[in-house]
Amino acid sequence: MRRSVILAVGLLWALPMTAWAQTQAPALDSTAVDAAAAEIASELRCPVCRNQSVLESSADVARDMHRLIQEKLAAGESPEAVKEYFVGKYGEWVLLKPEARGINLLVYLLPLTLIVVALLVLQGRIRSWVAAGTASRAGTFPLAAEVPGAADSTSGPESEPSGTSADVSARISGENERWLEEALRE
Amino acid sequence: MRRHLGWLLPLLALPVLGLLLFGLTRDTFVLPSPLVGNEAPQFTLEKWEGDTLSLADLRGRVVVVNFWASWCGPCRVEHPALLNIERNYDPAEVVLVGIPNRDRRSDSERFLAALGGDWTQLIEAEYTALDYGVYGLPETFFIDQQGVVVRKRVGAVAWNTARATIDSLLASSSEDQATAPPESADNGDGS
Amino acid sequence: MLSTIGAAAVATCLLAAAVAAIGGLVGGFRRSVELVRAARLGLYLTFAAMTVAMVVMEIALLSHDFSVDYVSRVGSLETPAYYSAISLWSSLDGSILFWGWILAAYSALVAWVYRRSESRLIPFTMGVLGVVGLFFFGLLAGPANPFGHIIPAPANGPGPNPLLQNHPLMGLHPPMLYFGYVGMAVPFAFAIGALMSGKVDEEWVRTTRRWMVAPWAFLSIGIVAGAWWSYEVLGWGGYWAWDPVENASFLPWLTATAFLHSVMVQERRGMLKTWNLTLVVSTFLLTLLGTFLTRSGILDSVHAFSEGLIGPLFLMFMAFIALSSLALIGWRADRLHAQGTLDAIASRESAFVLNNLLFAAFTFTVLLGTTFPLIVEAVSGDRISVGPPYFNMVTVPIGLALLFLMGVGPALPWRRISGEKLRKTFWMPTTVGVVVVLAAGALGVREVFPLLTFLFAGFAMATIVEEFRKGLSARRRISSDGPGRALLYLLRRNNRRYGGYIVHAGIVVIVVALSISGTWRFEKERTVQRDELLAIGDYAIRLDDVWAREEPQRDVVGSTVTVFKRGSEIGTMEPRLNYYRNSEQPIATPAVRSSLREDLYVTLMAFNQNGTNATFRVIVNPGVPWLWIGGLIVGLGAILAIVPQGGARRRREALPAAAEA
Repeated sequence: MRRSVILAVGLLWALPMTAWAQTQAPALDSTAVDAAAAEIASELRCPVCRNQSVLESSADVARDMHRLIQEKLAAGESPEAVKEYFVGKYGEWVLLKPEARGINLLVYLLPLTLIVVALLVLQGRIRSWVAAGTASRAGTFPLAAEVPGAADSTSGPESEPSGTSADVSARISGENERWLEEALRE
Repeated sequence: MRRHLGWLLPLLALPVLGLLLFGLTRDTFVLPSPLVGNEAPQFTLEKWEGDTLSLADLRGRVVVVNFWASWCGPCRVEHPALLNIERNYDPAEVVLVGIPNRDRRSDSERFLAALGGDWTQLIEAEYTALDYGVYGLPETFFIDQQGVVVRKRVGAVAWNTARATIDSLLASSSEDQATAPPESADNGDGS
Repeated sequence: MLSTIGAAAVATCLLAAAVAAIGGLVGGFRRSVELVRAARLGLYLTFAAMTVAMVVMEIALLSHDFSVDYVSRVGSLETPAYYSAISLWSSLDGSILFWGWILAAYSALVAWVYRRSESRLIPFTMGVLGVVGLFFFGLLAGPANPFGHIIPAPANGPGPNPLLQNHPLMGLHPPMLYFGYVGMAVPFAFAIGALMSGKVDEEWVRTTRRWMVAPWAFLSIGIVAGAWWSYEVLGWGGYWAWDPVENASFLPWLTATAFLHSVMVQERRGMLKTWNLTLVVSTFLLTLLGTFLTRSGILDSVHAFSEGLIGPLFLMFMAFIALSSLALIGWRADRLHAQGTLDAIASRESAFVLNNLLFAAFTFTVLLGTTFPLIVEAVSGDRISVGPPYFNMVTVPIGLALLFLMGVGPALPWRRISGEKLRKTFWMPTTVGVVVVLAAGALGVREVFPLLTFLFAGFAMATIVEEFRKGLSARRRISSDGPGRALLYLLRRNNRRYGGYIVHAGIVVIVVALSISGTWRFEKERTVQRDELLAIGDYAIRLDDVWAREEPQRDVVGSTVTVFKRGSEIGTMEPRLNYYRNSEQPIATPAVRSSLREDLYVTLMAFNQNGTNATFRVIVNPGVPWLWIGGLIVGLGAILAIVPQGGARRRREALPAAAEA
């Protein structure tokens, strides 16, 4: 359970690193320089606007920047060098995606850490809830009386064959592995 | 265990609130310029009266580069300070250079005719302002005798701070001058 | 004259809110019927007084009475009546007036709906609404007073914010957001009421769910309308910029959505009590944060326009809310503790818990990204930006995981499922998802994220259809209804559940549209001479004319272009630039030509003075129309979920509080 869930989430997280570049708007109708310039422009902040990228803004400065990006690329400069030029003039502030170093790492790592830790905690809690559920079902079925409106519950506890709690939880976790595996195999 | 977590969750709000309080104390408009402490971007631009001026030619003198426009309100406000700079310093020591930005030449001329000021005005090239990281007019750069930007001011300059900056540059360089005269073209390259 | 009436109304309102706060809270603890009645009347009175204040302000705005301070700042004789009326929310104090009126309306509604209830919960709830009201009416009476009297009255004013008067949608998007924001005060009041009264069982949760769905629906519509407005006005061809203010409206939506799911687990299982309280409190705090960010301008964005005392006051109020909620949760900790139980890991309960984890992570990520520049500046003094490239990168995976759960969750039954049943349930949706992916692949799609989106979207949509099919066939087995009648019966009888599915379907449509427009949008920017063609994809536009027109409040420069698709003429478009008297920057009115497949979006960027050429940005934006269609579906589903249910069920649920008399 734990491994597969973390794997699933980890997989989704790892994808951006490899695949994001491919999904970022390929300009179908412009030259390669135009497309590369548009991509750089979308990652640079228009210095006179409020929260717009150079690509989006119609401000004079942004349009100059866009043109300069195109000219620099056409002159053979690398995209990194072009971005570096603007960072040199306006500071790191001009990058809409902060460089992943120093304190900036936090903004990338904290969400990931949070998800992993929360999944671990949750996994432990779900285990204990299932154990408690199994224990109470083995006893007096205190929860068998359903809350009103639960007509959509397709299977109640009564429909399950009875067994020792160990059996039940073993079967359940086995089912669960299959469920996740199937889900992930799609 | 859940109980302990529950206790903690609303606490998360407090650091956020602290941050916002900090946010209220600062001015989002002013950006620190990475140019400060580094060599000023070179330029060779045409003067209004013809002929060209290179920043490199001014090595050894304090240079004040002022980006402005006739349509910019604060430019009007700071103009007396610029006039004071022109009036109070020897052009052999301190050079004031204006670069009108996105302004019609005739408008700039009318502005200066009305408010005075005879310092050199340069015709900006396509990307001069970008080279200096200009984003809000007026912007004023104080460049020392070695060609290094020591201070950048976004918004109207005030005469007393401008004077303090220039005086300290002149004072610190008078010691240097004893050993390395400003005529020496190699002077600032190492710094 | 108007100033005086308005100020008197605000003062009355402040007093009434104080009565409601004291009457509700003290009356609740002392179990005093008189005090509680006073609180109820107090809330009615706040509504009456705020209505007077708002009507007075509207009269002042529409009659251009510049002796009223607010009107002198946002009004002008040239502004058309419609925009004069909506300039109520053009600036800070007017917005707070509107905020206060909505709060008073919600509060009075709560007081009225539960006027006969004898639940211990209600007095506290009314008291909390009174306290929240005290803060906002206090702002109106002091630092954000819109009714200041100006002598002598100026002859004219500057007019409203140009962005406000450029598009009629400004009459829809802010009010929807405000109804959403302010409405979250009601669930919050119930949560605090539950804590104060000690009745932290399922009663407040059942009651609150209903009060949460309505603001949630407003918020959803407000967010979509905001995106639409941004698309129609800002001229950059996008609809969501991860602007701090946009994020601020999205954050409470995320926590409210999480609550609407986790609340079902508490209703059925009596667990997650503290978690649900936390979600409700967080949602309210985030709406305050949203109001604060919109109005304080500290994270600079298009919308921000304020300063002064109000910012710190807002922060103090938020700190007060957070700390007092914390203290109350701590005080009631023993009653909140419940042993959680589950029958199996593979169950809808687990799916909901996982869903909540992802929503919480989503919220955290957006909040972190939004405030991160402040964190860095506070720590190192450096200025950095966190913008769309970051948010897209980190939120897309979380969004996809949620989309996946959205398909899986409804397919899983409550409690448990056997392996065989699981296979049977998942077989069909999985097939649909795979077929969709194969079809997309056959059409040439190779990008990973769109394919994943299509897979999960196909799965989720198939699950929803299957749920409807199951419900219909079950109904038709036991009745002679035709399919139409059976559907109607289902929607009426179990509107919460099927409304929820319709909302899901709308979300699926939106997510697919986001994915498509984000991946295959393309654009071009060119300067063209008159009669010259600019070709892009299947389209071409020809510049016919550049013209100018003077209107009372603005000058308009427009261009007329003829549009061709695959060589044949399909019509003309008129992108414009508007120059408002009170603004240096022009505001664009892009021209959009929509089809079900895509939008052709043309913005006039620049023109030369003699009208011989113009610069256009032309964007082909596939899928965008489906964003608005999806938003509409979400709205419809949400409305369905909140209309009162028919028959016995309604009596049982509408006044759960009355039952325990």
